[in-house]
Amino acid sequence: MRDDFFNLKRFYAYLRKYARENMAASITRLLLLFATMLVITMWVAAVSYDFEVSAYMYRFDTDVMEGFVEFFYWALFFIVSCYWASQMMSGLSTKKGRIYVLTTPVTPFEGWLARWIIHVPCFWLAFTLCALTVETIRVAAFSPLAVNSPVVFYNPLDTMANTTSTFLTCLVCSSSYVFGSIFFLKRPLLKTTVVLFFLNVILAMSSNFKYLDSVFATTVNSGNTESVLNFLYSICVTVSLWWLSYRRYKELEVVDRL
Amino acid sequence: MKNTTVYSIWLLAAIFFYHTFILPIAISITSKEPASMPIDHVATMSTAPFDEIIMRDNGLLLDSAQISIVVKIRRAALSGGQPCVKYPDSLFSVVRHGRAIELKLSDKGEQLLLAGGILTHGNNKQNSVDTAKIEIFAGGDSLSCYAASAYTVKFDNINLKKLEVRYPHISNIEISGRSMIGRMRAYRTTSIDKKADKRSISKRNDGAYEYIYGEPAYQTDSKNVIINIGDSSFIKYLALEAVGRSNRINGTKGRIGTLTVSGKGNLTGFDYDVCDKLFVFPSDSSISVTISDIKQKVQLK
Repeated sequence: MRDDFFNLKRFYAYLRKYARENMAASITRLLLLFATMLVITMWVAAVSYDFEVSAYMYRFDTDVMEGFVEFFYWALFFIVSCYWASQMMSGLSTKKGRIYVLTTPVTPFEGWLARWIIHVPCFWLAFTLCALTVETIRVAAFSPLAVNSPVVFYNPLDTMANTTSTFLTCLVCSSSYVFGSIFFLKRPLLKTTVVLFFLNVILAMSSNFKYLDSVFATTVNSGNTESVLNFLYSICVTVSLWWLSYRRYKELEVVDRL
Repeated sequence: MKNTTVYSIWLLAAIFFYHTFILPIAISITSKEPASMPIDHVATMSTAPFDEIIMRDNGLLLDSAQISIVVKIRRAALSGGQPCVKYPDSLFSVVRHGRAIELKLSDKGEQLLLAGGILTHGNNKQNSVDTAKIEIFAGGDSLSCYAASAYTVKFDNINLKKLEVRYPHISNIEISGRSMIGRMRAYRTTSIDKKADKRSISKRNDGAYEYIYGEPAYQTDSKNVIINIGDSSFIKYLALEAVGRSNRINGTKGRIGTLTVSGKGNLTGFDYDVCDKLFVFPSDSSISVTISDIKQKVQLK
């Protein structure tokens, strides 16, 4: 095989093939995600807004859904990005699946990159599109009806840009699941969650719970040493985990062993 | 063991090393000690008689820095008949607007609190304080106060025909030192302009009670008033608007002639012996008054 690391034409062909093979599962997951977002947002909006003027009504200056929307999209992004990342190496848990991957005429990097693109950046894009659509529906449905509060469109991308540190925490977690999906070929979601839980408990205890401050920090302040260090740390850990995931993929054998 | 497994163990070790050594050391090297400001020096500002006091909290800075301000309002006769304000001038500034005086953080005080600084006794940072005291000697028969929630307003040995206390969130009012007050109103407002938002029960000249309607207020626990009456103080007529759920009237040594409670909240810990007459005026919702420690015969209706 020529170009034994990366060939764009071959990679593109494999990416299309891989995407087509996983189309049904991906669409089902996306529809479930969209339906969950839509139902929960609409239900909370329906109970939060008043639709008739009454003597007891208080008129808010800002959208009453503001706090919920900011929390909900973040929480959902955090949970679903971890789940989606943990499915990156699905199909490799059986000998048959591993033989299929090993005999596919692409380099390990191309194989890994195709899976990474579908499960990490494509998921982020799909999530953002779903969130924007749900927000548009919420604003279109409730702005003519709500009388107690203005209905404001919240762009999830703006919210993410304002809370860089939370995004970095999501990034580190999802990359841990990317690595976990190849390290634990069977039940990667459960096993990675258990390992991460104990790892975080040990880290929190060994750093006298200061560790939790960096995990739950909401903003990155450029003048703050801790924030800058945490930013660099998160980027380094994320890239290292992706690199380890690729290395592990490269070491894949028909008989799985540690 | 595969190479990747070994690298993963190294990465794990690096993560532990970062969180237990690098990050705490970096924070301890770069962290600065908070700035401090002594608040011992007290300035005295003599002023012409005033009938309104505005106590501001610049952007809730005092609240977020958890600093409470005790403002003692006394008769001007106790300072030689001249109305004046005694205040820590490093932290506060006093400005006069017409018949009103305004207490607010000085520029220096505002900058210190914004930077997370601390207030101290003397120049020793170990003697940090979280309470500052202001004394106001007021002349005249009537007084109107607007107090942000960081302020505890104490009326001590004062003689007023009319007193009005407005508060945006929580307000602590203490009446002591044999104070005598004719008509007192305490109500929540979001505006420091006393004409902008008036809601309470008022007694008209013909003796009847009337309700002054305004914008309906959103009921939360953070809009309460706590009134402590003690030291044989007497309020002839007190109109209280109970918007929150934890409004209180404390003290058994003081006395209220007529108490009217309006709004849509709760009045708890209320000792019935304190007042001679009680009127409850629920507005657009119900209001509950919890009476405790009844020691004599009480006729509610």
